[in-house]
Amino acid sequence: MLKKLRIFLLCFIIVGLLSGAVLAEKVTITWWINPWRIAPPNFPADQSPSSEDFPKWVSEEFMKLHPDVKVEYVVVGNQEYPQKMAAAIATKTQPDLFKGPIWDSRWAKAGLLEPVNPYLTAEDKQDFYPGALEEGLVDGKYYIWPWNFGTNGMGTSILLYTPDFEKAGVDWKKIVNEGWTMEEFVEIAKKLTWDTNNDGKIDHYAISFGAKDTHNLMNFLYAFGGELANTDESEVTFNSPEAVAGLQYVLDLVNVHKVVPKGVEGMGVYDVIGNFHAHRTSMGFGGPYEIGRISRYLESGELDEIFYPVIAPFPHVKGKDPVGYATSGGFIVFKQRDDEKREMVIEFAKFLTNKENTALLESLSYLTARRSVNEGLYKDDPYMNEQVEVYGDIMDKYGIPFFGSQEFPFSQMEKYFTAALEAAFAGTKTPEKALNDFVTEANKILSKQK
Amino acid sequence: MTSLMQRMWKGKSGYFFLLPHFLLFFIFFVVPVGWGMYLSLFEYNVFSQTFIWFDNYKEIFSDQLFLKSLANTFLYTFGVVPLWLGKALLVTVLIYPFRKSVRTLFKAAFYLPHISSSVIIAMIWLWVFNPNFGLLNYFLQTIGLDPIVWLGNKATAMPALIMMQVIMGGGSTIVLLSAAMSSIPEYYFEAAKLEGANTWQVFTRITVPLLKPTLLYAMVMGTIANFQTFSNIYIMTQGGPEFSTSTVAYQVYETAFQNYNLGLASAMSMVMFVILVGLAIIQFKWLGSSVEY
Repeated sequence: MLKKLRIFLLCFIIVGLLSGAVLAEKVTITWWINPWRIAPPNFPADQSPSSEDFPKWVSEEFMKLHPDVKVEYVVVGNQEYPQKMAAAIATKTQPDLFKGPIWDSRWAKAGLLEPVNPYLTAEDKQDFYPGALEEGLVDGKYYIWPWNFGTNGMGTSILLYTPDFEKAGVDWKKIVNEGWTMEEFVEIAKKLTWDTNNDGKIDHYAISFGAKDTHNLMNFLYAFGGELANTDESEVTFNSPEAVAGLQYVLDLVNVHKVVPKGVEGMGVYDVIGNFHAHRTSMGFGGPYEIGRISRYLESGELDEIFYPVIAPFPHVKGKDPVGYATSGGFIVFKQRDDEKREMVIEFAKFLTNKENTALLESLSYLTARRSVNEGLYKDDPYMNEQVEVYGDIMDKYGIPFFGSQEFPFSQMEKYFTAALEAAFAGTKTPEKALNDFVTEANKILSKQK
Repeated sequence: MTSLMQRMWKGKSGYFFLLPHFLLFFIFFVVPVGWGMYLSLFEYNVFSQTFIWFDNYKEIFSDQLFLKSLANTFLYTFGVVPLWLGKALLVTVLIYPFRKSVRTLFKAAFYLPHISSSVIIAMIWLWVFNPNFGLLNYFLQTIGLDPIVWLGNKATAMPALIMMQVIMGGGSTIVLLSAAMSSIPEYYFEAAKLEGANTWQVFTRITVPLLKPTLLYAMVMGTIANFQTFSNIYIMTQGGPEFSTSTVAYQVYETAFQNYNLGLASAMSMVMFVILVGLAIIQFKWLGSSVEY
């Protein structure tokens, strides 16, 4: 009898220990991030970081601080991100937290996301740029933990290859400091267009465009006073006389002034970048990130030699300010059912976006969403420090969102906008007809959404 | 019924060996198709799921962009498949007289694109078609012609994609046709020549009819594959210019993964599925006569 009791007690203890082990199981946080080749602290200077380095390092650091938490990261490519996320949401296997090239305000409206508001400190509110917080504003609540301010600078600023400007006798410093009007832009562009090998054919142009490069072309439409939609976003209005004038100006650069290579209707943003990198054009588009791309391409062997362009604002209509596309990005937390886990996921979001970790964006030549961090960026690099300052100034003074609020379904309209640009550049439609057709289709999408 | 059961029991070992494949086929094909049919009756947009009967089908058949994409898909498929088959048949006949090692070399060369990444191939062709520094325009300019914006012009974008697919494709068909041609008894050709048939008559009266089953198989598979073309469109034109290269598969992708409208995308997929089944039936009916030799 005593033996049986001993066995029973032994079994009881084993079961108890096992249950304890199960109960003490670590909280697991899963997060997704698209490829960001950020160098973690003490990363070897002679090596290029991979997209795995930052998520791996930051996950491990958080686990060191919270031994009861297991952090699992997944690097999801930009191309497959939308379908993976759609499939994950549909099958309820979404990550706890993510940073991606996409997010949809409908997720917030459907109650799938955790709002940020209760967790923001007064210091955070002071430190984050208002625009960075508003990027995640849906129905009066913020849903993004801001991280980067601006993206690659497409639609925000222009890159000038200064040796070409000096060769053409153009004062590029004046452009950087004072900006340039649309008329000045045309005159300067003419000086930057030439025949390199004297065979009677123009082979070097001032700038190039791509019909599939929405951001940069949209800048000209906005600069002339066009607006994508009316104030309450009830109607798409990008066929106003101002928007048509903006598109006509760009078309004239190609067809009348001939300062842009032909074939715009068949090109995209990477063709435009390629032309600038190969010095087939004197101007490119983008901000500090695009300057960083030059050194990255050099390291990967895609470019033979380094060059140092300077950042300048887009041209403006006389009497009006220039325009720059302003946007930002950050981390988003999916709705958590378990209170304890929610606290941990939020803690991790705070950790990712704290000052120290946000400052790591410097290795990617990105501006951060924190004012205090930006003040200390590129202190040892006067060239980059100056470029970041100019870029930050453009974003701050002239930055506007191009694609409406988070509720505005531009992602569904974009293909019709691209088709309008393709038609205008191919000459199959007048700029007015092309934009009218876009507006008709865009308003159909808008009315369907209502 | 009993005799059916008895026959099945008699062949139980055969069914047993078929079972693993059938299970995989059921799980990864039958279930998704069935689920797709089910989803196509819903307004299913990730956030909500509402049963709407056939409204998705009504919507897609009143959508000009979908109808244009459907027409483009037919144009692409019926542009690629005959040229593709023609090329494969021509190459097979041309390399047939060579000795085995030479034939193998050619077959390997034509098969090479099949084992290369379609994304890399598309990227290379993007450079070939580049309006400013592409290979094709370089040749045009050397003979004094004006450059063409191949992928930016409504008139040339689809033919350019078809040309690319015809040049890069057909490798597996060449391998299949070569194998089929090797199995045609040699005395058929010898007898035809003794009867005074010329090369063209041998080709049209002996080679092509005896290759008919393989040609039919290649045509059906080619039609199915090209009707679903996506990666070339996605990488090279994104459906442009002005939707002139938008295909049904590309519309399915956009609708499902950019607009998150899975119900509508499922309805589009079902239309594609029904058309493909229809095309396969027609092709088998017209060309499916058995060949024995």
